[in-house]
Amino acid sequence: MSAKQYKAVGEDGWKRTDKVNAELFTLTYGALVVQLIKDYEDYAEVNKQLDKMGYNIGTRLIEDFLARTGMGRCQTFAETAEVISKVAFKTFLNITPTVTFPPPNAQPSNPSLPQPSEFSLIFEENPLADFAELPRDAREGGLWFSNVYCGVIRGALEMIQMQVETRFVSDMLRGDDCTEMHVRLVRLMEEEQPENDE
Amino acid sequence: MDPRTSAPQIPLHLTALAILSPANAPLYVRSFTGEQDELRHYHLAHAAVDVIEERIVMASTPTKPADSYLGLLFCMEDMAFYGFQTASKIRMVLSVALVDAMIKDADIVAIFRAVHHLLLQAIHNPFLSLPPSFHAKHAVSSNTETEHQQRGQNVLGGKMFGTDPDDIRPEWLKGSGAFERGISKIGGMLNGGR
Repeated sequence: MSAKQYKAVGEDGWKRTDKVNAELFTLTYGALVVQLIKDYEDYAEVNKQLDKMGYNIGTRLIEDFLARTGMGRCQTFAETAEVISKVAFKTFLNITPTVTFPPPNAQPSNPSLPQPSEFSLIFEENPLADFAELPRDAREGGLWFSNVYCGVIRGALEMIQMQVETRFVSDMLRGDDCTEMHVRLVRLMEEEQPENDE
Repeated sequence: MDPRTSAPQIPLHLTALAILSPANAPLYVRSFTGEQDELRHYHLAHAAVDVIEERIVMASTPTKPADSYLGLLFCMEDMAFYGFQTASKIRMVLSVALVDAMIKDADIVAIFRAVHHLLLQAIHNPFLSLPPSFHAKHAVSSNTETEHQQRGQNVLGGKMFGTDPDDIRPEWLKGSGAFERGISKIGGMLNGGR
């Protein structure tokens, strides 16, 4: 499918989903992150918990996504990247992060995998972080405010037999120029039981 | 929708903005003409409060209007003062340099709504419920001893979002980078290089 077709599916998906008040959503997520910080008092642990929550969401969200949009199997990992950006994020959050691939002459991390095996998502707008401003302690402490996205993508792709590693590289809340998430394909899986993260 | 996009085309010179809580305590005072005028503008804004109270009494009906634009309060020296009270009784006083041209009420209301919008955005920051001295274990910690001393703080009891207008603290507004930048932008757009 071409980029235009992905866009059309994404917009159609967004039109059909039920909407919730955006402020309620943003405030709820903000309260969740701050409550985690108060409970754990450890930014690494908070990052881990956000990733875990995202993983649980992702394993269930993929079913919803496939049912809603009727997307077929992707032929390449690059296609997967485009679908995540133009269809998935568009359908659920009405945002379209930009997909970038590493330069072609860069050393591939695992030559046995289909290339390209990694991509970056650059978020121009992030509904989760609309009102948030990180205090200095959180910024220096290494908190990734939107870490739930990493978990969601990891969980969703794992359910379709792709094991990936996701992490944030930069975040505008931390004062960086852009919010960028890096996704790397680790391996394609045979039929396996999903990891039980309850 | 960004209210700032409907900024007036006539040369409107903003000199100061003051935001006061329902108890008339100062939440934010910003002088667009330079730091030295800040105290003077603060005093004039307080003088404006009396006029606001008077107008509110005059204008109040059993069914109070939601956003009360109070119009031109008074003129002093070379400045005109406009007042605005939000539904949560937060007062904003804007002082404008007097010009001969007609100043439309709609323009001033647009400015007040933009400031109100910025205020709401700053207050919705969830991290404001953490005390300023809050410290947690860093993800890549080099010193592990100092973190453990801080754990005695009772942060769990506090409210997540400040619910009353009285709960808004001036430090929140001064400390919020986005709020300061927004106000500076408004001042910059309408300052005319004073």
